[in-house]
Amino acid sequence: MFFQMIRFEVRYFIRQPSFYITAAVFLILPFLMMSVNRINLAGNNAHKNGAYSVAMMTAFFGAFALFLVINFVANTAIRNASTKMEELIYCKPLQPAAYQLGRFLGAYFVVLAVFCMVPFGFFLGALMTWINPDLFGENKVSSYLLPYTYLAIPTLFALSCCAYALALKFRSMMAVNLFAIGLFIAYDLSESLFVAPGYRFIAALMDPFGVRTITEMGRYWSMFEKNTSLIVLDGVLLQNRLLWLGIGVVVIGLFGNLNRVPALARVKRQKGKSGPDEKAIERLPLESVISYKGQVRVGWQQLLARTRFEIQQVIFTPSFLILLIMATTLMIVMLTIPEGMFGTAIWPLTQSMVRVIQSALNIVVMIIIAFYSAEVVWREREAGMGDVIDSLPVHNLHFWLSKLFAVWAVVILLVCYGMVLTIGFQLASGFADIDLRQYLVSLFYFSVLPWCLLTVLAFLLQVLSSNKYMGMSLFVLFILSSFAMEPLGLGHNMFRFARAPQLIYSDMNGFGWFLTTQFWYMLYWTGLTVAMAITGYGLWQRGPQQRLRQRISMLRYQIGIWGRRALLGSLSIFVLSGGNIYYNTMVLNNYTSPSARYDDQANYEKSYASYADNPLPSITQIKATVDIYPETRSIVAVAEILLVNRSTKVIEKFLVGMPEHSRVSRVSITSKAGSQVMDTLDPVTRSAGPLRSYWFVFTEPMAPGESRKGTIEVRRENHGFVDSDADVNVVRNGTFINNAELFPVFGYQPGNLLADRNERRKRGLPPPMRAHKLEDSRYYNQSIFGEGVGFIDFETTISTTKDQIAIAPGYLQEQWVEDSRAYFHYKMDAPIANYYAFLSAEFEVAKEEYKGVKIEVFHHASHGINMQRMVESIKASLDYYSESYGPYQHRQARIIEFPGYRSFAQSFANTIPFSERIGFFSDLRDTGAVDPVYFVTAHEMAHQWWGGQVDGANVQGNTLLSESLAHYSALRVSENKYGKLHSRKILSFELDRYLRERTEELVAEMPWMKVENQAYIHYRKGVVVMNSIREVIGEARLNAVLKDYVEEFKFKETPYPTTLDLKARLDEGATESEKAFLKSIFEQITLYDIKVLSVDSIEVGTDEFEVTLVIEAERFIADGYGEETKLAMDEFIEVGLSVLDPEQLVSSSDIYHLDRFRIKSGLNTLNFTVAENPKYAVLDPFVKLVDREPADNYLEF
Amino acid sequence: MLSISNLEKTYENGVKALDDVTLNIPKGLFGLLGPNGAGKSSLMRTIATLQSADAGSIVFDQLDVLNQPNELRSRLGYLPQSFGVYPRISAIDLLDHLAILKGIVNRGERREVVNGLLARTNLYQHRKLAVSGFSGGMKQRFGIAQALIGDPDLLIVDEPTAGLDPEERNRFHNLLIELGENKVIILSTHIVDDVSELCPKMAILASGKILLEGNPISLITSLNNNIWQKTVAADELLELQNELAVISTRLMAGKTMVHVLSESAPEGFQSTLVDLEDVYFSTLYNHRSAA
Repeated sequence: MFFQMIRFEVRYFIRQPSFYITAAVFLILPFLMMSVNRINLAGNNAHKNGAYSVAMMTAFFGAFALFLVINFVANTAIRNASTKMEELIYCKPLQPAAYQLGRFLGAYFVVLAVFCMVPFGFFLGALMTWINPDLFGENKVSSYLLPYTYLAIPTLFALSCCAYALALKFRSMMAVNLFAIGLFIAYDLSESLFVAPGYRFIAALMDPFGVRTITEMGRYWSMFEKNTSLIVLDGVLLQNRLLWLGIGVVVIGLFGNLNRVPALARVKRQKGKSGPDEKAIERLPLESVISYKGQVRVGWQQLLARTRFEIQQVIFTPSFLILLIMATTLMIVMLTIPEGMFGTAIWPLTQSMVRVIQSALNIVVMIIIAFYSAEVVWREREAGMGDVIDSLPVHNLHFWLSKLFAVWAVVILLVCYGMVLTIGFQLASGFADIDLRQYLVSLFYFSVLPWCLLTVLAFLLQVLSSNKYMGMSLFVLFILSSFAMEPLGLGHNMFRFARAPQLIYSDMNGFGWFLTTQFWYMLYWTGLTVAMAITGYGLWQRGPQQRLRQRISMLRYQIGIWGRRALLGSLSIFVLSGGNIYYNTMVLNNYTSPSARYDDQANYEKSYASYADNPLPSITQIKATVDIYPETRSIVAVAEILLVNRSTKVIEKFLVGMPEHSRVSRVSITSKAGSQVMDTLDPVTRSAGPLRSYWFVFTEPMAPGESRKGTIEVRRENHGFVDSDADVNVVRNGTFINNAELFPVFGYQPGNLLADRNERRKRGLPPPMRAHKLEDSRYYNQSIFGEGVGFIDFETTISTTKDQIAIAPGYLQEQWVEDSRAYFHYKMDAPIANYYAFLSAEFEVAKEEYKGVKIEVFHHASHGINMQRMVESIKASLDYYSESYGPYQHRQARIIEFPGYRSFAQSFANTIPFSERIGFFSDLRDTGAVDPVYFVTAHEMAHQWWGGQVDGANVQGNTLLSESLAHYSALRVSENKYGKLHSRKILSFELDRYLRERTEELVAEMPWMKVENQAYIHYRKGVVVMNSIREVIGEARLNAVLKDYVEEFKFKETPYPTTLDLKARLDEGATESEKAFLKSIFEQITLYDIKVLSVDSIEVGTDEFEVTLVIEAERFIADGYGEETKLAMDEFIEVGLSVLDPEQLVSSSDIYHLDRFRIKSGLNTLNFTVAENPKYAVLDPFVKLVDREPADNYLEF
Repeated sequence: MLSISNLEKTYENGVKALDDVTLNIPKGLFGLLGPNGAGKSSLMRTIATLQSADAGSIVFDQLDVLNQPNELRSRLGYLPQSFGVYPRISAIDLLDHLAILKGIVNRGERREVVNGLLARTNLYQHRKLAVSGFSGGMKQRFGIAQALIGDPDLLIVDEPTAGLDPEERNRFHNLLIELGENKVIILSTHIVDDVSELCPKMAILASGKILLEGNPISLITSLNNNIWQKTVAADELLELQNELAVISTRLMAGKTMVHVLSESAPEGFQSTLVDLEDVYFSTLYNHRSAA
């Protein structure tokens, strides 16, 4: 019987179309995933057909195969009930175990057979001729077969067991569908739960699909390893697979009804009255009149009754309750996970609460729309009541509307529920600034409205489909198609149903221009949606056999004259508002698709790359008048400049890049012969190249050493609205624009180049060059900003509206009001880098004077909570940096807040703009957490030295000289306040990021000394290795070197320093072993792998314990692609003991008996005695080494 | 009152469900007889506005049914051959909901109609139970009750007595007779007795065609002296079927009773009282032999 059952199931499914459809889907998707060059899940340099990448994609499809399991296994389990075959089958003499197991295995084999298509699809995809060979390595069959064996087979088994048992138990597809949805949501949720390093192992162990297991195994794998190493079945992968096989066996064993003869479901007794109401017979209302006629025009009453009915049908169901529970868990998890820097919590601002609701509900709402639309539209037909209901005198419109309202009601209820939840959370966190208006506008206008429109689309698709699964699939297809719109050149929101430019809310600037764009786009989509709704009810299916063609022939009759008028009206709204959107985004403004922008960038490079090293006039003096008009988001700026030819060559012409969003921009330069003007409005000079580039051709060439006066004029204006790339520099409240954005830029701009390798290759460009070689002394006279941009004298007069304060680098000379505009005159007394910014907003100011430096924090009225911490950090920074690196060059230090359209902090001369997203809302109440406000402020202050006083030459390594030094300096300042444990947290965090992000390298990882503006190197690794240099040579010696370095290169332009200069100073007077150490840090990518293998402690006397530790240590150097070579190791490493779990230390003194031991490659045994019985042994507790696997650095006794 | 002319319908799978159907149905009960798959339900559904026709027209009281379905629906009562109900809703609530949809919006009227119909279909004592939990017969009665809401001018009942016990069937027949005077009631069935008991007019439908139409009594009369009967053993039957027009066979006390259609008595056959069943079977026999 067992084998017959297997055979029956297999043969049953082979005859179903679903078998072939799913097989096709599971062949085509993997095929496309492998063969379409644009899709690359594995990471940029990993081979798509490498073992790691294929395993990852197989695991991913394993999750997707949940649909297969439902389609086949759950179908088998409930087929008897759903086809009403139960009574025929269950009267046969069945052997339960053989019957159930046979059917189960049969269906499982079918799932496995379909899933065979996945590796096959990958394999075929990798053989195609159009694939980009850069992305592929050798095609090995084992890379495809192994993951199928150890990922797919157990995963599908466990899923099949659960689905089979559930379907048997509940006899409903709904239960299994909910299980699937629940599993996906739970999986999605746990993603954020398990990011913390301590939970990664559990995540890897528990993942039913094995995605996180593979991720964990390859977490720190270099590209080289990912491409070449096969993932072998051992360690956590083996444990995970055994766990899930076990779970599968247990579930099917316990709940598979293996020892129970199959039987019919017990008929539930009806709730309430248990039997007929016998008394009623006596007063049978036989005399009641039954001949009342129905009234004809009672539409709204029918609508009301239908709506009430539909809402009840939707809301009082277990599935709604489950969705509610899912949404709740999702939101609670998102609320409790800190989203701030270094894992520090942030205050629950209304804008982040809104984001929590939106991102938590987005997926839930998509499920609701897809799923409930199908349920609701097909309700009558599913219940078998279609013929009865459809022959009633109820207009199609009323069915349509009532059902629509029901789904809308679910969505609205969920959002309101989310609001209640988050407001509760805000109050519970002690945050009372609840912005109800923002809640309502952001949630209902920006989210619920588009969701409602999507519901209409889902309804229409259902009405057009011949069954609900087809309708659901069409809707899912529509959702998926949104990923394809951008590549197809249809990225404009006008082509993307129910979409509008995505709201970014800023406390400073409120909804900004988004209210305007939302209005027009929503009007546009609502117009279309009403038309779709009218078509939808016109084509509403009544009766079982009405084909679409027949319904179309009745469309005119069904929608009636008012329907036709409304259709016409809504389509006119659609067309007219579409016209307005077109006019605003394409005529008043230039909409550029990403690919057109890439083309521009490529053309720029092709046209001008050969002029990259041409000499340029340098600006040495700026005197700017900048009038900011926040209401119209415009700026009129005029700058008097002084230009010098610092090169040794005659300058015939130079490239000028005109700014964006500017109606007029003009450069005029005066020579002895007269003034020469270049104007974007002038038809002669207007022949712009790519990216608004023009040649300024001197009528009289500029001789070396010659200086000329000039003027720059810009009129920057924003007209109408844009679809994307809005001008976030100039806004109603919170203008922040730097000189490179506002003014024309001179010379070839490497920042304009296309960076993405694939996009470059498509356009025939060579791989990108990120930096000039460290040894190439031709660039030593260029600053980090490139040729011709050096230190300048700076002076400016800014005006803005009366209620705003305008700020630029420099000291305020004078401030006055004229014609109800506020004027500010700033002047700088020391040279500054030719890099400055203008800001204007309504500010509150916190002022303090400290040792002759005016400290000022300009912030939004409600954002004052962390002001004091910023001021403290500025003071501590001034103290430590002046003492260690040399005097501060300014007499003031200002922090200025700008809107959260951009989230960074940036250091200009004595002026540090901070995004409202950085620091202003960190919740600093938890004293155990990292204080990011203090740290970031100290980092930006350090840039007044690193960048502000000493700027690196335009070669490899220059970001080390600014960012690594600033990051390290900030670590010192915060360690002085918060101690070593605080630093341990920062360093662990940064080390982990370095190790993870180096695996995502696009080109090649560079040694620290030659960093090519790679953030994971200059920040993350930089702070760790700087700290270990301090450890080895001592803080005093290091600071002396840095002070000496600052002294020599302060404001020096010929030449600028390089990392070679810094290293040379460190090498001076260093011992041989120190030199070797410095070399390994500066010149090589050095990695360590140390771990505690075993620990033991024996009580040898009162308060005397003998401790034995066995430690394994290795040292490697890696090349840029991650291929590692072992090196002999012989170093002193800190080892400490702790009574607390090292992940949960409270103070740095929790690590006691900290001592340095000489550790060599291989096994090391350490013996020492301590007074207290230790609980943990910790290697390198204060993160001095770049250790590949920090998680195994401690062990419990 | 209801006139159907030249109605045609062919399904996607090629089955010709209605083939040039023309019928004129006056007020009163009209029986539509036919074997399984004859096209009865297709015709019923088409009249009940749930299905379109490929050709032809249906006019009810000057109303073009095929092109004005919404207008007909307010005058229509329909009991489909098989139907389900929403889960977990009691009989009284569901009937009340359907009554609103039928347009009975006055609360008092609606209560009277709902209670009255529940009483007449003998469901009043079960009114608070979910219809989805009803037995087959009870559910069928609920179907009858819902079809009668709003006193329809056109009542279409498709196999209404299927699953009813004799007592309920009688009760339903009486209800139909009571209602039948002022409206068109179309009763589709394959049970000949239903028609002979109730309908002054009838038609026989097979393979989508109307084979016969008329008053049952006159149809019976027209067959007088054309039906002959004989009791035979099982093994003789095959031979008889080859020789004579055997329209029906029926077992009686272990022997087979054969009815044949013939102008004169075949040998060994005796005359019998013609009933509607003979009319039905002879019509089908003629149709089959013609094909």
